[in-house]
Amino acid sequence: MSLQKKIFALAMSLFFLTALRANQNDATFFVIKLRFYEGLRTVAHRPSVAVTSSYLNPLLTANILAAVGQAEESKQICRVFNLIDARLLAEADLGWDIIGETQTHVLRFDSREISVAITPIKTRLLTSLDSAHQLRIAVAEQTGLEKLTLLDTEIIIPVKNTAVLGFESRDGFPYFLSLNPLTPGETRKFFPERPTTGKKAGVSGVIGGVISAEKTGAVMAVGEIKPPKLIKKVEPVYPEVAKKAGVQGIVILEAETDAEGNIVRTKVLRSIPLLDQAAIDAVRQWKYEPAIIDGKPKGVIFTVTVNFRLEQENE
Amino acid sequence: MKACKFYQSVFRYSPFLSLKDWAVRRHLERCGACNQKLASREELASLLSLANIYPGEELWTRVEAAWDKASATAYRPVSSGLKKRRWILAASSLSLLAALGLFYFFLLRSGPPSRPKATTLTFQILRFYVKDRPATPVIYKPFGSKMIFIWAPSPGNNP
Repeated sequence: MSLQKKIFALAMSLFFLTALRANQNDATFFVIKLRFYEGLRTVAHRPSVAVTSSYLNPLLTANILAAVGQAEESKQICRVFNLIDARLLAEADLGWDIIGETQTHVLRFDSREISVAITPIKTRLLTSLDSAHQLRIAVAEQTGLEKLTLLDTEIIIPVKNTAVLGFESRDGFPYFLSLNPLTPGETRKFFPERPTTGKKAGVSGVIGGVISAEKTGAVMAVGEIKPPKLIKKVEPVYPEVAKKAGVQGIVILEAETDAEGNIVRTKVLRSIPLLDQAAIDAVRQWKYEPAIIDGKPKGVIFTVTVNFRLEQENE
Repeated sequence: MKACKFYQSVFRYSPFLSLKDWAVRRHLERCGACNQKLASREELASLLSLANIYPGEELWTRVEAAWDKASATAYRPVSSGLKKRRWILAASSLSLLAALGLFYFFLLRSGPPSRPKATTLTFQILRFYVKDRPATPVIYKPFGSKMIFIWAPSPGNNP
């Protein structure tokens, strides 16, 4: 074989291998949109609900802003389960590179602590368009030192479908977990660049990965690092202009505490322009229990969901 | 005549010697027009046997030379420029084909959003425990909806 032929054959092989590798990378990375709802069976008006939850990992602001269909999903849950309301408490886009890796999302609200652990068991591919994810989902409620598994299931969800799992808390309140695996096309659209997880950042020490804030030394509430407990809450003031305009919904903030548990930084992740500032002003006054990590008080980065609801005239 | 031109192009622009040798020989043996142009079938036979001595590379050159009686036995070696052009053409054709294939593949992967596609991948529950005990889920799927609702019933309690 002449040198020209060899070079030509080598170049073509490299080209095809690169294309194949890119395609395999796409196939292994997948994202599931997670939403957590609180169901209300009776009329119980709460103008705002604040949820402190794990650092949304991985999360890009643009993803959450682009999320659609949440209001419709909430309506469907109400209709199917005969509820007065289904309020969104938290929303996250969870991405996996590695099958078998568990991602745990912890939510704290109204003195409750609920953890949602999702482990992909395998991905079933029918064609490049049709696939399904086999997932193990464990939802647990922690009360003091006691942990009760509310739901432990293994399900197969085809992409483009949404599974809504309903269950009751220890004291009988209904909660709903919605899981929607994104299609490869949606994944590419929402995640043009693959997000980096704590583990991939190469920081070791705690299972699930701890990423330190560059300047403050705060750690992200990911995996074993739980979001801190809220000890002082100030209700957000519903802006008059938002009331008049009939604007309601949830604002998600990324918040950072210092070693004493004071909020030192906030960043809007899911925005409602008329309500953002009210949420920031309230959250800035909150105080959390200092987080003790490796025996030392440390700042933590986590997310806060502030739910603004307008009073209904018929309530 | 179109076939003749095609085989002439195969000869000129294909860098694969065995392929063009086979293609040109096959054409010469079957093409009446090419045969008529040559002085006799014997001449064709001699050209084909010559081609065994000078493999494929100059076969068509010799056939063309035989058509032009003035340079019946002239040997015209293939220029290095032509060789380069052949490789460039072959590489660009293959690259174009590969690019088209990949484009089609990725386009197909993105898929038209509205077209429903039949699938055998369905929702399944493989294991279901509520409060640490095996339970039977209550499942509801609205007709035509992509949503499925599963309720985990607590003992003696329904939503």
